[in-house]
Amino acid sequence: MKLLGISAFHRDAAAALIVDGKPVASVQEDRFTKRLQDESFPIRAARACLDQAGLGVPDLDGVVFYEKPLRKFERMLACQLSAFPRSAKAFSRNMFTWLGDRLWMKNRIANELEFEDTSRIYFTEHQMAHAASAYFCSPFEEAGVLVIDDVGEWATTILAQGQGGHLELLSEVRFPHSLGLFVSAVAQYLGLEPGSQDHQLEALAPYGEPRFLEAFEQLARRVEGGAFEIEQGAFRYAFDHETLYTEALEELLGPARIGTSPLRFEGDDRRDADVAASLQAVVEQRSLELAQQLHERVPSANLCLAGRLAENRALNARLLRDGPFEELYVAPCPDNAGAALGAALYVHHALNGADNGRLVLHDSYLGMDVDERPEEGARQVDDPVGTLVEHLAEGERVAWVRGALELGLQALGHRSIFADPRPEGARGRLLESVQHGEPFLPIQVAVPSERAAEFFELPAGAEAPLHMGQLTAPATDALRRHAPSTLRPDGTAWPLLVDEKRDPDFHALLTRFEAHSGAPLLLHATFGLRGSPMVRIEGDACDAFQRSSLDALLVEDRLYGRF
Amino acid sequence: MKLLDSFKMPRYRAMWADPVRKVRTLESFGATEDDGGRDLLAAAKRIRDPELLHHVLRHAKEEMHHGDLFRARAAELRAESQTGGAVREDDSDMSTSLLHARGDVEVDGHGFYDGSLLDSMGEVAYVAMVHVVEQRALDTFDMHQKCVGGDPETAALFEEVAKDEKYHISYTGRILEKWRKEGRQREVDKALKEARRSTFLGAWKRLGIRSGAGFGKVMMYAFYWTLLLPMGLLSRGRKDPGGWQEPRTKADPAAGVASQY
Repeated sequence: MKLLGISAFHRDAAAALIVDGKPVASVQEDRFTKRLQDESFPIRAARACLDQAGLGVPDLDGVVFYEKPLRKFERMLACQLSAFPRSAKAFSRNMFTWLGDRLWMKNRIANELEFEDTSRIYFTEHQMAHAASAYFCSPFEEAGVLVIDDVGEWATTILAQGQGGHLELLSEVRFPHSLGLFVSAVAQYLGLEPGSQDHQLEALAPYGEPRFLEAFEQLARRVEGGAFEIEQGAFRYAFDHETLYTEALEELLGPARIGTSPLRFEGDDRRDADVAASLQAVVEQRSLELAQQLHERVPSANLCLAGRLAENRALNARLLRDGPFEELYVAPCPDNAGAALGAALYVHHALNGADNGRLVLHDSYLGMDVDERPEEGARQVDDPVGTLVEHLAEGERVAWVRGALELGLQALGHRSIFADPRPEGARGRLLESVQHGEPFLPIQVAVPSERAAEFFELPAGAEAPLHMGQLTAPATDALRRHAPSTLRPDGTAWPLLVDEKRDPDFHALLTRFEAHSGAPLLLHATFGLRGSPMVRIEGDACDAFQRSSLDALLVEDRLYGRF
Repeated sequence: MKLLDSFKMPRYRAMWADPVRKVRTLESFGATEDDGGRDLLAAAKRIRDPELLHHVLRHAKEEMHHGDLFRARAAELRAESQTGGAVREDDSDMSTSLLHARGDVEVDGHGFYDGSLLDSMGEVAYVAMVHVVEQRALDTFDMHQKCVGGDPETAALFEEVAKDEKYHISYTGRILEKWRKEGRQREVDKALKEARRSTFLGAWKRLGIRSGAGFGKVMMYAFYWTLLLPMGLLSRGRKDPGGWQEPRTKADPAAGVASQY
């Protein structure tokens, strides 16, 4: 059975193709439109997925949309009515869009894809699509499934059970009580762009102290049964997408950050970092309570995690360290782009029965290969890995583009940039080379799997998340010596384990670099300029390279330099 | 075209007065300039005329530089805006709804979206199109420059970009003139006519869509304060409970996936 999953219209649209329950291709629309986290209908991504599998639209057995549009419409209407009359402006804007387009999703999908049989267009609940993206890609037969997200239809957070290839929804927390939107509102309060810059709060948190914890405990209260509720007096996101918080939040935490002022995270005044630290602490606490509640209902050793907050690496590490589960699997792409894949997987299992095809994903290489069209100035090299090592050993910052494109925001080695981790300022230099200037942003440290324990205090039960860079971990003295700039103030760092069997070239790069540096470590980050998505094809890579201050670019076996 | 432009001025002024829309507009201009640069680079690989190739490569470089300038200014303004921007759900809805295209105000300076337009259009039609859209871009940027109000940095940015656009108009004009003299006058004139016609029709179409969208929103606003008012008053202040809720549907999953509710 061939199903095409679609996620769209709310940050990071994507398409995913599965054949007989196994993921074959998935890619985000922004890779084609170059508009970061593009939310438009992913027509280019859908075509690319079909091309990759050598299929056409008539070959599909169904198309799956990752939300239930009518239920979402109900939620929006109900919330805007209950906010009367403050919702007047938002109402006219949203209803125009919904009545004109979004309510007729089946027709929209049929028209965009030229898929004629509308009876084979399916719809999943948003959070179940997230849950499926974790459980059906995990190695677990049985697991508790926790989704902590912003919002889909009504549900913002769900507990589910995966058992023998069957996924059952157990309980949910409904809008407007949303930890994801709570984080976005605080991001906006700190002058960041909600949604796309929420991750900066996690990066800021270790620089501060949780001195606002009491206030945050009030804003996101624990309620009976280990659930939570958000104090609505401090937030407007229930009916307004422009300004997410109210003056009540400023009365509680002080004035919102004025954008012209720098973020306060070092020196004597670390107020912004303190806010971020308090937020991180309360989000971790509430999430732990959710996990505890899930474990009471699903007494399994295994936890599958998805939704926006599963992109928070410190939170994932905390859930594994202090939570009741022993094994963790995080969806390869926990946010909306991954929900396209989850939606297709959910429908496949719903229509075909439980035990009908699974493919465990230990990576996110679901996109297309490099479209090999050498640009002017390319030089063929015989030993790509050796060439990279030579450049890195000379202190250069290099980009490496090869093989299938990663799904999600984070590269795992196929669309990546690297640098020697030993110099003090190495982290900042590498990030600045692709126009990321924030001095508090963390960077990954790539390390061979079998050597990782020398440099990190690795948690047990997290094989896949560690290989997908989804956890932070305490650093050892060896890491402090060999990669000082990667340490966060709390003594943790961000590892990316590289397995020799799964990625022999990346593994060889690390081990061969050790001959020069004394440690098999490299700084690693996603190859994409600030404000742009990860590069996709050779042309994109050359374009980004020209605009960056990287020293060299290797695309498969073609080297581009600053000649 | 000038008449249409005059209709746009009040909207442009309103847009530049709004810090959030202002940032989005600059980001969109940045993306459009990038697209244009990429298209020109793609075209350059197929151009045989050495003089044209030289100009197109320079043009591509300048378009990408404009992209960087627009993005950099957007980043500065974003940092200056107190809210730091807004979530993009509304934009997403608008960009993919009735419009089926990005809005002209916030995006369209040039109109390059296809990475290989030269392949499908041919060399003469491509250069003619570049010539015409560069003229449009110059007019558009000129209007924006007049509307930015008390923002000299952004006005200076438009001025800098406009200088390059004049060069782009000039070299494409010279190339077209050269081809005319080489006996391709009919081909050139036809291509120019076609390019002007398509941009003119495009402008009318966008104006129509915009008007429709604006009218629709006004209707919704009126609807809110009339028909919805009693329901709004009744629902006002309704509290949605936090904590665990039982799932609404626990029906057969196979049946559930067919439903949009």
